[in-house]
Amino acid sequence: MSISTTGVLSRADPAAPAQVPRPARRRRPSLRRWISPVGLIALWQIASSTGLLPPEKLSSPWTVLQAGVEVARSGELGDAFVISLGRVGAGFALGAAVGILLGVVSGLFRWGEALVDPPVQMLRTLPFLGLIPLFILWFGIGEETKILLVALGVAFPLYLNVHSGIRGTDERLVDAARALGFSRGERLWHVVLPGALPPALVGLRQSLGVAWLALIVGETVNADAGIGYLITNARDFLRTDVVVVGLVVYAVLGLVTDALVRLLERRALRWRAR
Amino acid sequence: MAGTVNPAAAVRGLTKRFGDRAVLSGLDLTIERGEFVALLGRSGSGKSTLLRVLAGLDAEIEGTARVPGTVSVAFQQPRLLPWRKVWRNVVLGLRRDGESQSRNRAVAERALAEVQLSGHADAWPLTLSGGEAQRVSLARALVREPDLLLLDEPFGALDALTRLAMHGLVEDLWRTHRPGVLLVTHDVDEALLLADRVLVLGEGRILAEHVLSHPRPRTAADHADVRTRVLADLGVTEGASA
Repeated sequence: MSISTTGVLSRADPAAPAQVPRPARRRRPSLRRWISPVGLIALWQIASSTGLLPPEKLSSPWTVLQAGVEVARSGELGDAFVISLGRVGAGFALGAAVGILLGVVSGLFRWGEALVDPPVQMLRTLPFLGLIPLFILWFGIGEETKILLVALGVAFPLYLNVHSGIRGTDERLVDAARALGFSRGERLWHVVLPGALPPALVGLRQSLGVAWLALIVGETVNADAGIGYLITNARDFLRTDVVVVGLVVYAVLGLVTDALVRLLERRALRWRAR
Repeated sequence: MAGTVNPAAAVRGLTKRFGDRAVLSGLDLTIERGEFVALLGRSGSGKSTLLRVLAGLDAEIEGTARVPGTVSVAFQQPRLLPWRKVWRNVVLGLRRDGESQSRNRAVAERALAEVQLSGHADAWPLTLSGGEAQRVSLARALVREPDLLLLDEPFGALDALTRLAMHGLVEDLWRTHRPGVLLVTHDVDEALLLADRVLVLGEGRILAEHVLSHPRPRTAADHADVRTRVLADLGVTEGASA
């Protein structure tokens, strides 16, 4: 994600006429930004090849690549991927539904805020990963614990942002809508909720980040399937190459979801001044 | 003006309290259909409170405030919904008529042309200048074909040149659509330029009333005599000769 387009290439050389359209050029990421990542991987490879970095600590990039192809070919990776994605999907859906619902209730109604906000604010200060022992006692070591852990992590950022988004509604716009004859429901739908969308999308991004974190922790604590299981299992056999493959998959999943939310933001918030 | 059969607004004995303080107390006001009334008053005199009552935004009142027909408001800030394109903002107050989208679009285009904003129909409000946004706000108010148009210092946030252009525009629009107008302003010259009648609000009621008879379009000098008296009503004595 950090390898984003910068102004380096899009800065037109002074000799070029100003009217020449530049979008094609602007889209190409600056090559300079690739130098250090590629250099680091090269260093890593050299350290491994010369024996400076023993494979039981960390496999070489080349071995990792081979291991990746291997686990992908055998179908292990695909299966693990689907299972982990399912966990995050289920946990996210549950947590998002609860977080948004509570955020809307406490944002819209004074009573809702009085009842919902204090406990949520208190629970928020609790590091939710610290609840793992309790969750294991309550729900066992099966799927429920992992899904609920993800749900819990997802619910808070969404709640907070939806709540403050609705609270931050511009009352002058609501008045204007009222003067135009909007009913209460119409004001909610056409004024309050669209106004709360930008913060809600910020919350969505935060919560997706937390979702992957919760999944990784949950799967590392205990799993008999999924990417976390793949990693834990590989650790038991000192297969550091497969461990790194699992980490790379986690990273890619995080990046992809983040990019999806960015795309959604660009679509949904087109109206914001450029 | 004595009340006629069917005024655009009729207010009798209006009192509005905030806690113990009565901002308006026993206020009477009639606005005829097609009449342009300007309301002056020092800040805190209750101008905006009265406007909010007439707009139906404040129902906790004593006395009566009757507004029989359609009301539209243009506020000091344009208050456009930033997530709706300009033309959709213009027809916000029309949507319940069950009109088809394309009909509404045509209505919006016509209204935008009237405020000299043709070609901005598909723009996002945040890309408009202050004066443009205010004109969209006027268009939005006028497409409802209001019997009473409430203008709450609609030019207050604009620069002086834009303001002059807006005065002319409002006068033209008023002549075309003939709504009753209540213009709330703190600008005496603006009131003298546009209104049939200037009211001065103070102590919670209408303190003074001046009928302006000079034909339009007027210039700043046309009601110099009234200007002095209005300023005196407002408690300004120095500099009145300017």
